[in-house]
Amino acid sequence: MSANTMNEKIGSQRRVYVWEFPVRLTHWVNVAAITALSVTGFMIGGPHVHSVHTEDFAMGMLRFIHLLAGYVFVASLLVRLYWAFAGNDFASWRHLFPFGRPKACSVSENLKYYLFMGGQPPFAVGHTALGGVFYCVICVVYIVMFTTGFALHQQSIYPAFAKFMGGWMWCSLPLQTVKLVHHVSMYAIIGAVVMHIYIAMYLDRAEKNSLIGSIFDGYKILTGRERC
Amino acid sequence: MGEFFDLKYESAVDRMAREGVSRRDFMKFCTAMAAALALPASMAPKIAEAIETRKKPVVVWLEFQDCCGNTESFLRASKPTVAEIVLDVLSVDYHETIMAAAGHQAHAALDGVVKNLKGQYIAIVEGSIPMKDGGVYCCIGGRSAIDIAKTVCGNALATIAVGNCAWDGGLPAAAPNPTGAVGVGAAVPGITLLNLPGCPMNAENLTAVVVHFLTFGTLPACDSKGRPLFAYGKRIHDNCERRAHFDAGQFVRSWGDDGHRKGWCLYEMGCKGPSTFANCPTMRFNEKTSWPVQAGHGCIGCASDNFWDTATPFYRRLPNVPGFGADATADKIGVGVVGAAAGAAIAHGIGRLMSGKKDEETSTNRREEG
Repeated sequence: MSANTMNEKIGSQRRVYVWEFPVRLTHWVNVAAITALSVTGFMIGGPHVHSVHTEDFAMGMLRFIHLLAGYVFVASLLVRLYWAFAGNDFASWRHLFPFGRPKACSVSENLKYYLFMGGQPPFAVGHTALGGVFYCVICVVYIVMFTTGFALHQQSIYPAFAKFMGGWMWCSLPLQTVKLVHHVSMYAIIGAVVMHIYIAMYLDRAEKNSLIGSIFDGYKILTGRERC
Repeated sequence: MGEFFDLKYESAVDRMAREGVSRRDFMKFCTAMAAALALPASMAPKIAEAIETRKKPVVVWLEFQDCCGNTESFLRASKPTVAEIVLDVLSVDYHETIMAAAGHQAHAALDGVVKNLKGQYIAIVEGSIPMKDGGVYCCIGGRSAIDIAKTVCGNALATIAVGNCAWDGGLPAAAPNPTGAVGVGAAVPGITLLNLPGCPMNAENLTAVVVHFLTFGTLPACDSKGRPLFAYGKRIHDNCERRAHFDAGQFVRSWGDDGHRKGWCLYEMGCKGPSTFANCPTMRFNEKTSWPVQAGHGCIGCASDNFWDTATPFYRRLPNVPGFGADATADKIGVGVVGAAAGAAIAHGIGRLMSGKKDEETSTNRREEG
């Protein structure tokens, strides 16, 4: 494993630098952006805002934050896309697809473990096989999310740019349907966030390899039982 | 183009003099039309000249699967107006609802126009065209609507589809579309077609199209769906008089509540203004008297394609989710999705506490031994 060359020995534990800075940065930018987008999006969609004075700019400000966070989110995805080709092995786009993995750390082995059907924790240095597939699905939802967002945005301003950014994908659908897809995708992402956080905490406890800590400092602890 | 103009009728100038329309009113109308067509004010005299000097294009008005609503819109008038006279510039040689002729006489009038003025008359179509079962669901004088449309629209200089039904099938084409109804564009492909959707279309826009045609001899610029850009190029939401309340966050929450009385934004009541492109806020209806949102009712998106299927429910922000019951909103389903994810996590955690504890202990022990 090429990553082993980057191992450090600290005390009796060996640490490996798994998540490089751009991976961690985009992760936390995504956290901030998705939080901002979900909260403002939910309030815009409701709308769960009720001003008293006409001089207020509550809805306008919510839409401003939503659009700004949307641009930040897309920028973050673009950086992560670049890093999927430029970064280390753990950041590679190849992890999105469960091919070429040893059988011991295949999707079915991961599933067996999560469903209490026997098996061992994945003990993956980078993403698990199932995790990779999960992120692949999430990527599709992200693409649906920001292209529908731009498809809705192109009605008001910068139509050429918004079209270029994916709005064209939805041109043949009625705007109300695009809105519905945009709205439902938010729940899909929140549901995925719940699973993501739970499984991260669960594996951190089962594998004791500083999985949660690694998204802050980039280092995972090698337990000596890594299988992939 | 000599035979294009029908010389039997009095000119617009004579007609205006007879009806008592002042020159000032006429010039005001021409200026308003220039504004409606997004032309500079300097075009107003040219429009006036065109209306005064150009003679009547011959028009035939076909009605298929319709409710006559666009005819009503076309005929709306409480007093003679300039717009009405301009529309009277059209020599409507065939119109089932308002023509004096009947039976064979009427058919002869239509056949005469198609035969004698081939490629020189304007066909206005109202209503959808049923395509199912050979088009038997709409027949006039023994001929199917599709047969009539192919002959009349196919030989016209241009066709104007008025109302949603003639544009995309409208109400008859709403699911499950039992008659296989389509709009003119789908029924007779390849013709010169201009669509004026709306339920009904705004007669002011038809007037503006006629003025454009009289002034320039061409139909106005259209979008990819064949709708004139001057009328359907801007979103209702962006020109809405209640937009300030939207930006402020002041919404009507139920019919007749305080916000409704104060004229706040109808977004929460399912207004489709944010996804509908039409000039209703600026053009208004019935001699600029009012329009739905001004009257306190949200836009139902009637100028959008297939709005009976896509813009419903009219009083909800989002459409129903296909495959679920009518009461299952996207939010209820979404909360279910997130709840299922959280529930799975909790169930898994409990499962682990109950049964997985042993496995963990063994694996920890094994590692310590190793």
